[in-house]
This record gives sequence, structure tokens and C-alpha cells, in this order.
Amino acid sequence: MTARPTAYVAGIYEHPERVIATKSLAQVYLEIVAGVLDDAGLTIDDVDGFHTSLTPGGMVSLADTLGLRNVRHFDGTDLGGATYVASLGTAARAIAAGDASVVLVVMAGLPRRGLSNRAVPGPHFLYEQAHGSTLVAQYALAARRHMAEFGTTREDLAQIKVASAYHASFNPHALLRDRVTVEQVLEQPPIAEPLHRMDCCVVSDGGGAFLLVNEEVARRLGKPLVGVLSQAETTRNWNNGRPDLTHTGAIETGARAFAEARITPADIDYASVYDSFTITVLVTLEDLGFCAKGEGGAFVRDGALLSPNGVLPLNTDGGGLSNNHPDMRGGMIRTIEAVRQLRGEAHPELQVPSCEHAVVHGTGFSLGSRAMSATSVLVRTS
Amino acid sequence: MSEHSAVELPGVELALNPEDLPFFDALDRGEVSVPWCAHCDDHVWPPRSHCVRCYHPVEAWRTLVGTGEIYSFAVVHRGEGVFAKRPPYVFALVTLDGGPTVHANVVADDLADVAVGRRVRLAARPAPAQGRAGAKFVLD
Repeated sequence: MTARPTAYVAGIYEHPERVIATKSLAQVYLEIVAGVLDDAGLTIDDVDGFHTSLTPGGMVSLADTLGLRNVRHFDGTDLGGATYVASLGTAARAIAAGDASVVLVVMAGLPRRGLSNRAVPGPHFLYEQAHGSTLVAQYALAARRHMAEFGTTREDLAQIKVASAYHASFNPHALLRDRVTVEQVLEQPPIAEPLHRMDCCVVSDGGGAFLLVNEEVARRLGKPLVGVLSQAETTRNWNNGRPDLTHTGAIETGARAFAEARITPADIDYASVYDSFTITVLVTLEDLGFCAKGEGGAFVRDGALLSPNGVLPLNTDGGGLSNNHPDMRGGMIRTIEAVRQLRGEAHPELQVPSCEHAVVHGTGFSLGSRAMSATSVLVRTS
Repeated sequence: MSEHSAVELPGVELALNPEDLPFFDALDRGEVSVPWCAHCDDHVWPPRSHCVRCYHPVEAWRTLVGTGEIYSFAVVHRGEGVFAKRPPYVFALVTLDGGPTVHANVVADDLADVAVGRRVRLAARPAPAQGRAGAKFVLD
């Protein structure tokens, strides 16, 4: 028997714009919160819990901007791309403890005009900086090591972009809507080899939000019930100069999240995996247990990630590789698409039939080292 | 691939703390030096004032032989800052013999010769005119 949900996702909203030229960040936040309240059928006065991440002025400023009046539970943790997947657990635990009944989890960003909600670099970043590292290069190190240890190829990584682009072709809001072939992915200019342009997520403005509520509120609202069964988070570091770039924290968070939900990867109908880069998806799928370590390349071939007929429909909105990537924290939009699938509100061509269990995973910062991981299992209930 | 990477590493303005200085100073002498925990008899990497396994303060540094092998590498085409205008260069992780795996640059006449598992050795280089430079390795 599976576990019982500890909280329910009552509202979701994804900002429709991808390039926002003139609106203020405050307006984008307000549009998102208006949208998520409308989706749930709640008002701002119902909100008694508030989660976000780094934001100009800190969360006190954003609480002021949003006019929050009744909040008694706050969380402004920055876990990078793992942030809002982690909120599925921390907010659910606050709800289970009775600290809050309606938690607003919101993010927005305007990176296309250089508004970056990022922390200043830590003390050890200078060892990367001295040698010309870049964010893409950090992930390229993980990709190259995976290729050397397991024979993974650029063609294997390209399959992940091909699936993303196919799904995005059904999403009218996606930044990139053109389908691509493996050959087209391979022909792209290199950024940090072995990663080329289409191995990398897009840069987009926008944001999104979800509302996590207790069972009483969820049942009153009359929306399809999507519950949080489990959540787990962890970090990986440089391991005192003995890094292991082919294994991520998903090994631990996946095992804990599936055990707590009392299901296995075989029970998962849909997966939302933050795809900062193609390699992020490949390694995460291995570490979550969808295939053995080193077999991710074979797993993603033959349309495995395509919805609805693939072995594991993944990122049906197009993901960060094609749809959007606001605030460079992919956990939010990954969560929103998982809820759409569980509600039966995904694009009709891509809706997974009888979608009951979904897994959401976010990876923050780098891959394998100096990294955060968070996994959550969501369920459709009655 | 036959691009030649630039031979000398650029100087970078780095916000070095006291515990970082011995490593960068040693590089300018053509040596690799790492903090060593006497209690654990192990390196401490990246450098810190304390060993984070036993939490004893670091009291000595050890000079390594300066050889090792490539754990992984990226050929960076879109560098940033002072690396922005350079031709493609190799940003790597090098596992030092008797020491930690460290960030490095690997310089080779033909980048196609750079591979995971290749033996490398620290190359002497001048201290940059401005800022500090990193660890430069060549194929052994």
C-alpha cells in the first residue's frame, strides 16, 4: 500500500511570457500570484505560508510586494535548481505540523535583462575561476567523465534534446518550438565540449508558482487531488578532493523518496527531471533507478522519453532545454508540469493516460560536486 | 581537432584568503603544494584552515611530485572574464599523485591528444604580471 499524502498541490501557474522586455520583476511576481490564486480558487488572505528563494531585497521585500498579511511560516532557502522541489517537502511538513494551511511557493526572474537572483560565489569558487571554468564547463566535466567510464556518446545526450523539442512543439508558450533531429543537435556549435549549444537549457524570463494546502482545504476546492507522497534532499561536495562526477545526490534522494512513498521507479507514470543540461537528465535517470549506472545512454534511445508512448514520458512541457528556464531554478516549472500530468491537464497529445504517480527531481548548482538534489513523489488521489 | 591553445595562463583577479596563498605561491615556483592534516595523514582540499573530517587545524603543507592523470576535462569555447577572448582551452580536473583531484588547465599542441586518464605533469610558468594564475599541466 502506498503512503498517504501529507499535503496537496491546489494551485499551479506558469507565466506565459518568455521574453519580458519592459515589465518590472514586481509585476511579474504579481501576475504569477494572481494566476496561482485564480487556479486554486483562493485569495491572498488565505495564504499563511510563504516560500521563495533568493530575490531582490530578500523575502521580506517580496512579502511586502505581494501584500502578504497572514503568513506564519516562511522559507527562503536557496538550493538552486533543487529549491522548489525541496519546498514540496518542507512546506508539506509545515502543513502536517499545523504551522500553515495554504503555502504559496513562488519564483520569478528576468535573466534575459541580466537580473540574476544568485548568491555571491563561495570561497572555493576561485579554484574554478582561476582556470577559466564556466557553468557549462562544470557540467561538461560530468559529461566527459560519463563518456569515458561508460561509453556514453553525444548521440545519446542528443536524444534527450530531441524528446524535449518534440514535446515543446505542442507548447504554444515554449521559447523553442521547432522539432530537431539527433543530427541537428550534433551540428550545433560547441560551448564547452562535449556539450554543444542544444545540450544547454534556454535563458528565459518568467516564473511560476504553486499552492500547497492541507487536506481540508484541498477537498473544499474541488480541483483534481494531487498529493505529496514524499520528498528528500541532500548535497554532494568535493569530497575532500576525491570527486565522483558520475554519481549525484539523486541516488540518495531517489531511494529515500521512493521508500517513503512505498513505490518503486517502475510505478512512475511520468517524470519531471530538471534538465539544466542533457547530461543532467541522463545521470539523474540512472541515479533515480530507472536504469543501471552507466546505462542511461541506452535507456534514452528509441523514444523512451516521448509521451505518451515512451517507457518514461519526461518533461512534456519541453523542459528547460526548450520551454523555459526562468530564474535558473528549474524545480518550479518541473513541479508544475508534473501536477498538470496528474490532473490530466497536459496537452492532449502528450497526456499520459491514467497518470497516477509522478516523480519530480531538481538538481542545483553543479553536477556531482558542489551540488544540491531534491526528489519528490506526487500522486493523483480521489 | 587541431587548435592550439594559448600557451600561458592569464592572470585572474582572485579574492584569495590566507589559506589559499601557499597553493598559488607554490604554483609560481613550479610546484604543487597542498595543506596536510597530520591527524588524518591526508590532504585537505580545497584548502581550509581546518581538516573537515577531524576538525583539527591544518598546521603544515606538503609539496607533491607534480604529476597526475586527467580525471575529466572540458574544451571551453565560451570563456568568461579574462578567458573570454582566448581560443578554445582545456579546463580539467587532474588527480595528483599522492594528493587530491584539483582544477587545472592542460596545455597541448593538439587538443585531440587530451583524454581522460592521460598522464600529465605540472609545467613551470612565469607569475602573471597582474592577478594570479592557476595550475598549468602538460601531457607527460
